[in-house]
Amino acid sequence: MNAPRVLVLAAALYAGTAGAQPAADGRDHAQVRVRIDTVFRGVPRYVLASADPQASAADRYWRAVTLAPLMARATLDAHDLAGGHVEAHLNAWGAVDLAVVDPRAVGAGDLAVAWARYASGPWAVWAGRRFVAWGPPGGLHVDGVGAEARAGAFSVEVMIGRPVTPAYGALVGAQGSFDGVTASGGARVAWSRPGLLMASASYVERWAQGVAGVRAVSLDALLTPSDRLDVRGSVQLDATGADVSQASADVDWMPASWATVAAGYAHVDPSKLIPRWSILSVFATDVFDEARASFVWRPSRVVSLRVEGAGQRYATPGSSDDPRWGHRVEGSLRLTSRDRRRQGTLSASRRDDGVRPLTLVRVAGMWTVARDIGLALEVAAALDDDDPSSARTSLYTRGSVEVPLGAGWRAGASIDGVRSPIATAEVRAMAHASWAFELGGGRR
Amino acid sequence: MRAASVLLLLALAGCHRAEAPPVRADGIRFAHGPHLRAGATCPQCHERVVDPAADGARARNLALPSEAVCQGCHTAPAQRECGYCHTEPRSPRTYAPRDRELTFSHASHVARERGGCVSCHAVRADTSTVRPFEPEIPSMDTCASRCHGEAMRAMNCSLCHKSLERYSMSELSLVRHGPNFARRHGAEARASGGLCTQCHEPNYCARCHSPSAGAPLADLEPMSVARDFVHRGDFQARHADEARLSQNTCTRCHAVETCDGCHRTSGVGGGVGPRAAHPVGWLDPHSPRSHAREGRRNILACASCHESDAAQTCAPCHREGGGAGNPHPPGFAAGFDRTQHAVCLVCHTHAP
Repeated sequence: MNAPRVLVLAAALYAGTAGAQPAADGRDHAQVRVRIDTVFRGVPRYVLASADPQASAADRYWRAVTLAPLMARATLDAHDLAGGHVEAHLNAWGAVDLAVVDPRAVGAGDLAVAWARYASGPWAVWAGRRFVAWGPPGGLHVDGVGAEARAGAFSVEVMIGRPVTPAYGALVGAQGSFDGVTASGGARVAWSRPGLLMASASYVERWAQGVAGVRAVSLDALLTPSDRLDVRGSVQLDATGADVSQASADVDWMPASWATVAAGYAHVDPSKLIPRWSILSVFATDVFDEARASFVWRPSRVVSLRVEGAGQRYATPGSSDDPRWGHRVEGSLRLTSRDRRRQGTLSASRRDDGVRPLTLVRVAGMWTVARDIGLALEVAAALDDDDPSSARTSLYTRGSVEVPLGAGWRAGASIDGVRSPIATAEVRAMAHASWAFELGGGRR
Repeated sequence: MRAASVLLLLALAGCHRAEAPPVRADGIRFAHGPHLRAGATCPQCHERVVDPAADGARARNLALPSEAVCQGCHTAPAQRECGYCHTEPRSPRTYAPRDRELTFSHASHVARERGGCVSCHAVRADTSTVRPFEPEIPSMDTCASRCHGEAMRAMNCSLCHKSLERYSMSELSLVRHGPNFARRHGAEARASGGLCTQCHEPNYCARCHSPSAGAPLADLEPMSVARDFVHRGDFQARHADEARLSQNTCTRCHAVETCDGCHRTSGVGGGVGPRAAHPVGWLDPHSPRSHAREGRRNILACASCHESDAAQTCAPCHREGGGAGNPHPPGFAAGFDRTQHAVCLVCHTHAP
């Protein structure tokens, strides 16, 4: 990330927080949450050696390079500043490789979030780098400005800015944000009566390389006819070609406090999700449809059992090829003590896209023992169903301990044992420390 | 004789235990009615309700009077006995501290209500029965019916509640995170993002949705083993399978740079060539490992690395006259003018 953009973001954040003075009546209602995480790991990074250029990646020789990344991340959330009008949010991280594997790429860092919002009555404006939940699938991470207006249940939002991708932080080669000029803007209207109906419609454009790569129209609704029934629907249209790029519909029914029954449908046309500045967006590809159903049984507040099944269909529209069929079967058992100091989970999932089936199994538990010391143990396996003994099968186990040190400090350590397609057998170590500070309570 | 003595001692001990009063928590005997009829006003005893310095949004100010306030009027010796007010005079205690996890300012409410405490607390002046004091705290319905109905309908819980963690899931049915919520939370966030921020900070979303990949969440939260983190365990080893089995999952958060940065430094990136990740037979259209077959299965897997360089990687063969055939799906319609659009002109050099 270049220096001018850092300065612009810093200025936006400063402008938002400069008025962080106690309220005029002398009562300071500010709510501030700060959290700093520091993680130090000793991990191997696998580099593919080209001993045989003609061999595939699976057949060539992997060489391990030991990294020792020290990573720190800070988050800050502040509300009710400047007499209750301003909120500000910051999430920044930095990391250095203490092993100095590559002197040209020892460190990396980025601002993930840095924005402030000023609200007065039904109006609000914001500026900075933030994540916007609406727009393209998965939302939009953007450097920008926006405004909001509310009138009862009705609200309007507009936003314009530049999409950003955080620098890749795995060290040894941090990557920058998008190259070239990019821009994104859009608007959203919503009607929200939680407990009855929440609905929204949005339009977002995203430009890059001189092309409007994304023109997405989204329609989302959540209907709650009763407190035991939810109906959700979402449709996203690729406005360039007037096609449905993805859609979903789900119903959750809670016939009793101990049971939930759910059913849903999803549709994804992957090529419509690729920005139009890439020619891959006009290539033939399978469209994905899934029908699913699940049941959850909660015999008590400490036990939850879930089973879910789904059938999937992969087919290229207009093609004479037979569609492929896949399925997904999942089950999980979750145990949580009433004081939440002990938790356990057992889950299994079999997924098959008609080409290469995979089964995932996981057992994990967490206990809080004397002096609030936390212990956790996790064992997981990803099995190649065609041949469980093949190299694709991976095994993973982790043991962790975390100790409260007082004054908001916590520290801990983890040991991982791994057997995977790229690591025959290895042990990894991690130490972490976190500090949390809270003034005035607030959200999580 | 010795046995009889032992039995007698045990019997006496049993009688003694039976006669001992059970230890109970101390309470305060109080009735509002006589005090109100005697002309006392609310702030006269609950002086802190109008004191902003003792109030504040995060104060645990229950506005209960101290013993000194009571003794300002109750000066008679009998009224100074502990048992006059305390239900357990042998172990008198102060009020038990309670944190209702509410953001509330008595002072601002008193100012708005012009001192009309009973409009919220509904203390009846005809109450004259001396009974253990039970504070009549307004219910949430009282708040909603009088002033905060709009906030209630808008699920603006954080206006009053610092946290909802102490409530059960059935009590939070409107904002419940049902089973498999991680998979479906996006639809609810899109329909009404403001609902999420009633309880969660924007940074809570950003922890996953603005992926600063320095450390996955499973490393930052090693104790949260029961949560549905995406990159849990040895995800790196199986990320290719995960990407293929979960349509559209990766590209929701990661752009091409994420894949390129790792693949290039690991030696498994850089397109089709000697250091590529693709298997033997990748360029053979008749091979079961043909790139055409894999591309049709999930073009997003191709785009995860080749979104920005597809013009150099794919177009040389698939362009008009390139000899590799038309990659468009049957019945393809671009939806825009291919004589003008930059993407079309990569392959279609001659306008039709």
